[in-house]
Amino acid sequence: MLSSNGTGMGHLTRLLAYARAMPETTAVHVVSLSQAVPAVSDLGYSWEYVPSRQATGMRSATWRRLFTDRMTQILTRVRPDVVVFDGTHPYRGLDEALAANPEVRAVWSRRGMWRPGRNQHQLPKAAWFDQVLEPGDLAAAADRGETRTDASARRVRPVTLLNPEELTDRAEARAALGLPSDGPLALINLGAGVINDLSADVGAAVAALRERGVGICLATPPIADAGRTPLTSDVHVVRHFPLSRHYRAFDLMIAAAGYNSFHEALRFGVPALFVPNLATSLDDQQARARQAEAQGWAVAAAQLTDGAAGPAIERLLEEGERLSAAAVAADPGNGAADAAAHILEVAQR
Amino acid sequence: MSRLTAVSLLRWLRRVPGYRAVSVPVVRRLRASDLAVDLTTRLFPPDYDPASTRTPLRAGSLHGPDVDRLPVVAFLALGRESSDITQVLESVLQLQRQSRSFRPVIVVDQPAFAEARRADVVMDHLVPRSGWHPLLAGDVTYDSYVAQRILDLRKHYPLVHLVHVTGPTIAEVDCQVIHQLARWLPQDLDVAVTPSALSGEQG
Repeated sequence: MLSSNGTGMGHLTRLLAYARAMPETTAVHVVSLSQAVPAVSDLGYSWEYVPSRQATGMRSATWRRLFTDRMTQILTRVRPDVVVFDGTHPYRGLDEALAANPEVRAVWSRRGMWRPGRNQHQLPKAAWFDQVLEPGDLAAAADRGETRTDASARRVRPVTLLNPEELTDRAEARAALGLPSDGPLALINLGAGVINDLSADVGAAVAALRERGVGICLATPPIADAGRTPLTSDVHVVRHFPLSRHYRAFDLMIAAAGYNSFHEALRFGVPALFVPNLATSLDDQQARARQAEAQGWAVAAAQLTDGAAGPAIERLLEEGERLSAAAVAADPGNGAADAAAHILEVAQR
Repeated sequence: MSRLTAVSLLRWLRRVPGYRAVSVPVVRRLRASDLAVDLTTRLFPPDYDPASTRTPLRAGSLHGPDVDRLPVVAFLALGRESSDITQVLESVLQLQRQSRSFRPVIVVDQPAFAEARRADVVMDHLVPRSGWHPLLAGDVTYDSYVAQRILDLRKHYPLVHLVHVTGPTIAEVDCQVIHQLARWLPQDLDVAVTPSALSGEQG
């Protein structure tokens, strides 16, 4: 499994979903540009790290030579039957590494929901791979990106790392995360932010939740620097991978509309307010969030600042249970097993 | 001829049909010619200048217009505890602030990426010996794997020295190499200690 991501877990999480769905006899090794990769050892997988261009500060051409050499060495040494790359931008050098190891098959795990008109120049790289695999999206009806017309891609149902039956119950979840056993709790998963800064979405959400007597839990990814996590006495920092295992600890969630958090919230029935991250270069979180609202599955808000947090959270508190139940009822199931089957079929070609 | 003119001329030449067909074999023969190399060396005796080229890279405690010209020193700290790596990193950064002569690349077999980000240094990672099992090793021995990675450091970074860190601090001889390296750098290099790094040292 090969993931991009300089500091995040998004691509890694999807790859791990595929890996978990494979037969136990399948040997899986993870290579990642994400500094969060050590977390995969908690799930029993070996890993190797390749520093990303951002992590090194190198020029692109210089980094590309490093990446090409490392990938070629890894593929030559490990000799996998198939390599699965999850990302929207296959790095130059991967093609050379694959060419140097022609017996290795390759799959591009490429999620959709691209911002309209962007990233078209990456599409021809499908030629590097034996198969393009598209993890489905519950918001697919709103997809206006360049991948939506690719008839050659194998599409599966939306992919999440866990299944609903794997979640801990409320009491166990709260105990595992060190949270109070009683009282309403909200999970805020909006990425970095200063909680006392009302000019930012995180701060606005915290203030609005406090006003309504809802306890606040701030999701911190495994890679985050613990020493710099902003804290006040009434904010619980939750850092666990995979955090979704303990989602039943939370009465509601305020999250960006990235692929994993979006599908985990909806599939696992957590009443959700989606605030799309508009700073992403490619991921059409706005369309994803709006589609969830249009389908009656969640609340969506463009921002929480300038007084928007209160009404959005009020609506979530009033309607969240009904919305999340509708989302669960519409769940087509986890596509991870379908994806794993496709990957293994490619491996045997 | 100014550098700009020369570069423009070279770019024009590269667009001339047949340029590569002619230039590549000619250059190859010149390089293989002992006479050509001898003449060139006599006419243009190379001075060792570890700061001759700009290579963008994370710079740790240093910044400034010429920081990209500083050479790289790699620090290989294998088989160490995570807490040791913190101490090693602090020693490296202190040495960097004192000498202002290099940018570090830290190579470890324990993940300490958060500290690397805090320090703004490049950190690469080797699979630890204890994790070297058949799935990822193939036919490659661990020592062969480490050797390949050490050679790659020289290939991918403007490496001027490689330090094997075997204790909690940097060996004195390596410290001396790094301090003396500063004497080989142009005296007018515009490099300074980052204020936050300086306050950390003083605090």
